[in-house]
Amino acid sequence: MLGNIIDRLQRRAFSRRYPLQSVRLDAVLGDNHDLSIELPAWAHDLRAGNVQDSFVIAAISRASALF
Amino acid sequence: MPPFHAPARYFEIGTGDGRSALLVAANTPASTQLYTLDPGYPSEPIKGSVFRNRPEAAKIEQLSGSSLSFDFAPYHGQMDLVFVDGSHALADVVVDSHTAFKLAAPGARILWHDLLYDSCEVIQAIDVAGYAQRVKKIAGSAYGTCTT
Repeated sequence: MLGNIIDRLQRRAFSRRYPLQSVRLDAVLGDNHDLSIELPAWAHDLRAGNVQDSFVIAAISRASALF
Repeated sequence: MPPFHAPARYFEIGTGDGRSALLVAANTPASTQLYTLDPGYPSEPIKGSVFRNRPEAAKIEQLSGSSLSFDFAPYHGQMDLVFVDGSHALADVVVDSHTAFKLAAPGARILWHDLLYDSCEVIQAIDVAGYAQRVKKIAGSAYGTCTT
């Protein structure tokens, strides 16, 4: 409990100290949208966050390839 | 965001098990060349194990060495997509970030992984390296990106 609070406060402090602009994936992909990507089975076995990250790098690779 | 440069060449700092390289290989043309560098290759079998023995591996060249001492000169200015996912120690990410910009061709895209406020070292490194104004965090992911 206390650990969670400390973690949250630390994340908040980090985000204030090192603010980064955020961008949506579709803005990164620009006109080369192709989100119809089927990830390989092993990607679905990963933690949820990593599945999303796998999708992002696949989409960026594919968008780049379509340019 | 500016348009993408065609990704004829991809350089990855930090192979890990190879899942990122495989995802890039599977979503780019057969002519795309991928280079992935890791100090654990070839002594650690896990490095690149995800793509090893798969057809996509034909596009991937595994390089051995530390990104702090590897001779990147032959690759400078030639990469269309650069992925920084090696050591997450602050000083190392600073060096790798500078290297990424040297590797990148004009109009290339650079990706950093693990921009997380939990540990913060990658984000802090991007700030220390002087790229905080250029790098944007991709919403809902742990990636940061910019174009050159």
